[in-house]
Amino acid sequence: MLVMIFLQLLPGVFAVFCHYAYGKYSKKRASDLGLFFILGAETIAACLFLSCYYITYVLFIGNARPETGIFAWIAVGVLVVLAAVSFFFYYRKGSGSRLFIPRHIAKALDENAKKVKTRSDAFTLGALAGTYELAFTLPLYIVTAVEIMEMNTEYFSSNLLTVLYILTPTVPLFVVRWMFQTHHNLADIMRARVKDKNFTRLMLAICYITIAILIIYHRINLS
Amino acid sequence: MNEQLFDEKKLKRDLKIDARGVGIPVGAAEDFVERVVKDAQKSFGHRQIITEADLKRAVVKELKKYNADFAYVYQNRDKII
Repeated sequence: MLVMIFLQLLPGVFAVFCHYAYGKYSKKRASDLGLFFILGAETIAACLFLSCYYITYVLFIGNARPETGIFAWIAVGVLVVLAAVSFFFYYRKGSGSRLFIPRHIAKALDENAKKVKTRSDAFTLGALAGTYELAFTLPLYIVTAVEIMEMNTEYFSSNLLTVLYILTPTVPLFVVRWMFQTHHNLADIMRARVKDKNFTRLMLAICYITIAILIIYHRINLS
Repeated sequence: MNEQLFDEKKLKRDLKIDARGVGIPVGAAEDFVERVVKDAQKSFGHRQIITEADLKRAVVKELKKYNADFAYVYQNRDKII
């Protein structure tokens, strides 16, 4: 869940979107559109996570159990690669907080954020921004789906964990929304993003490595 | 090279959105943007052709005189995502 909080594409697009919305519309309307952006991001996160849950359920309910080790090794490999990628390539070199996504996509997201007029536009933009970060979230969704599926429900209900997991990616969005509502602006958010750039990528790498270590510890029998 | 006519209206519209976005009130934003664009144009003198980067530099230079946040957002608008 912690990884989701450190991912920066969705909050970045949302900050740009809020900037334009507060620039064009009244505070009430901008806040309302912001809520629909968050709803879009939430919906796509729920769809993707539940799809992964269903696919892993179908795959692992048969003969191929996750504890066979192959799944675990693949997951560890992917997570280690993601840790390296997030540390070295999550942010582009140079000033600012330009992310890994191709420049034409970043430009298109910026243009779309500027053009948002209705709630459905805001909802679609939120959903779209959520899917562009799939490279970093999909492996997590799969790993988490397997873990929740096989979880001992003694302490937590798996349904509650699923809901929590789906809600987590939108926590930074609510923070950004709150910042705009309390008279902070895009410049404040941009400065904070630039300042915390190294911390963010380090934390992302640490989170991915930690998950990989936990998988090795719990799922792979090294002896 | 992609040449295009300088669209003053579009520049003003974009600047007004940015100004409102950083919290400058409507009336002040309009007055502010008019002055910035006028001063930026003055700085080009009689030059007929300017690059986008020249225009951006001139606008940022003028914006910095009035509001640091506004200038920062305009200068770094393509470096956020």
